[in-house]
Amino acid sequence: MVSEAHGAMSPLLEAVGISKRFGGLRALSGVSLRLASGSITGLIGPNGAGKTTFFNVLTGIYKPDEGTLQFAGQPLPAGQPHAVAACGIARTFQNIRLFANMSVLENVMVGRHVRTRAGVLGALFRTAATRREEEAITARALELLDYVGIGAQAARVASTLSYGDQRRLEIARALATDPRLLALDEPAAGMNATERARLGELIRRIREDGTAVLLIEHDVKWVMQLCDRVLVLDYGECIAEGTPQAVQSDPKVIEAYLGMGGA
Amino acid sequence: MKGRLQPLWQGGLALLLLALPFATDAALGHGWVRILDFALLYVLLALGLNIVVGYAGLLDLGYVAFFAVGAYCYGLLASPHFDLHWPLWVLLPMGALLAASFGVLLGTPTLGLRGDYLAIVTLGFGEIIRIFLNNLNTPVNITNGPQGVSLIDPLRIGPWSLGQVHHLAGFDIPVVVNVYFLFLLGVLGAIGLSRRLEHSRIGRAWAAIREDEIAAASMGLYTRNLKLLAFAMGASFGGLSGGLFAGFQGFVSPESFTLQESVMILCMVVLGGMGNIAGVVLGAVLLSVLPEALRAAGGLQQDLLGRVWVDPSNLRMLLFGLALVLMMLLRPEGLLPARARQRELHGQ
Repeated sequence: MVSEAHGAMSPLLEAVGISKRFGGLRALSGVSLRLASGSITGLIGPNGAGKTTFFNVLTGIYKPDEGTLQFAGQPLPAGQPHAVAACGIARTFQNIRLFANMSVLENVMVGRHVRTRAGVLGALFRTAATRREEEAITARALELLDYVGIGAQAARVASTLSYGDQRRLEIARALATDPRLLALDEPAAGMNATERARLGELIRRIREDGTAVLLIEHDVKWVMQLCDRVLVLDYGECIAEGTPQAVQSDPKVIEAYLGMGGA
Repeated sequence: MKGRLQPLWQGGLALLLLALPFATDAALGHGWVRILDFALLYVLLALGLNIVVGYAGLLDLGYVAFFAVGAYCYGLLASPHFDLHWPLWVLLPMGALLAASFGVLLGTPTLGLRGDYLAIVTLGFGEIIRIFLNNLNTPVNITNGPQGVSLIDPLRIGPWSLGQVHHLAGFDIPVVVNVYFLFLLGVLGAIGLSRRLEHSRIGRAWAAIREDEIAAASMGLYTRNLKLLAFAMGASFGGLSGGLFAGFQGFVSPESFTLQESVMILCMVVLGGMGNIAGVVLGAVLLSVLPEALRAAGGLQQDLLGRVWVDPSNLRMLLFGLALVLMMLLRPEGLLPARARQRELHGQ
């Protein structure tokens, strides 16, 4: 399943033979994935195919039972989400997980935590370095809110934002960790066509600014327009991988989506 | 900084706090100033527990253990028990540090726990410390067991002992007033530290963990260390408070550090409004002063009605329980809630 297209360049992310079981259920069986810097990769598949499980393994929420993950040439720490974020992978969640009672700005400021260092002593004595750092955190957070297009909402409480804006806030918070790879779990879920198109623009802009994107999505048409490469999971296995055109015409994919004999 | 008082209010408050012990002493006597002193100690304890419960969202039912650690640290090293008489400026920071390390000790095995489970473990921890203090008199007598440590050196700052009456500009300043000002200093320091922590990178990280631990970890927050830090910071306030308590009382024994005390401190935090400093201070003052005021109500009936119709000391816990039930029904976010908590409980 490993693509040869990017073979010459060393990939940003390389997952080899990832398996994950929950009791008797094989959620992932030997999934492999290569992802180049500056690419947009889509992860699609029917419900329960293991897409979110793959995200959780990638971002350290689960430890894989088998397989290895390499990120930018280094092994990725397994089962340690904070360390994964420090390596440069940030994510959003399928069922939005904002810090609901904190302000929009504070949500993004939390994202800066991993790239800043002020500790207890700095906080207690409010040193010049700490104050400068706080200013820089605030400035960067505001910048990111503008970047995703919700700068005007900075002072609001996160849970009061509209659904689409909450998704954008999650992206801003993830970008605040200075990721090299942004993993978006169904970022367009619940959005209408216009919102989807605007989200697509944002994702392309993020890619152009140097961050690779890996995204899970159900809307196949939207994914095919947006992504450079697509990986299809079904029952925890990778059944197809390649350019959107190639994947779309793959009989196994058509079968997975339309059911037995549907093709 | 957010929520800072206007200069006029600041001045008024400072004047009130300065005059309060003298006015109380003149109007109600030493006993009531002593109640104020204890109220300040409880404020210090409640502010410490607020860091753990209010900021980081970790339920701790054994908080009094840190108070005990601080108290015994002071009591054992400044009394005839070991014939050691270390000075206050060594013992108070030492008690705070020791309590902080006990905070880490408690925090480490509980990192994977939340809510009910964490509460049970911390409850056990509080009891373990108390039982240790009760039984560490054999085979080597360290804590003097249930008899406790007595004849502890009074609080002393340099040559100035707080354990005796001083004369200043024609005024007599009684012991309880001396102590009031030392404790007030401690409380003001603790408020300052709490505010700075709350509005810092660390405070923000605690709030994020409280809101959603998985999202916080995915944003790169090392939740293990941040939780331990919360336990340690909260415990250090408890340790400091314990040292002040030991020096003030001159006596410490295990029975001052029961589960009842932990629950009381938690009630102060919750009733006042966890996560909000002003609320926590109010909760601590109310819950430490009101029961005493109720006790005085007995004497008042005697004077006014000729006999005691309702003995308030019997009703104290009943009224207290009733107040808690009503609060949780009518105003679960506390008297002066933190904004985030209010939003959580009442939508927008």
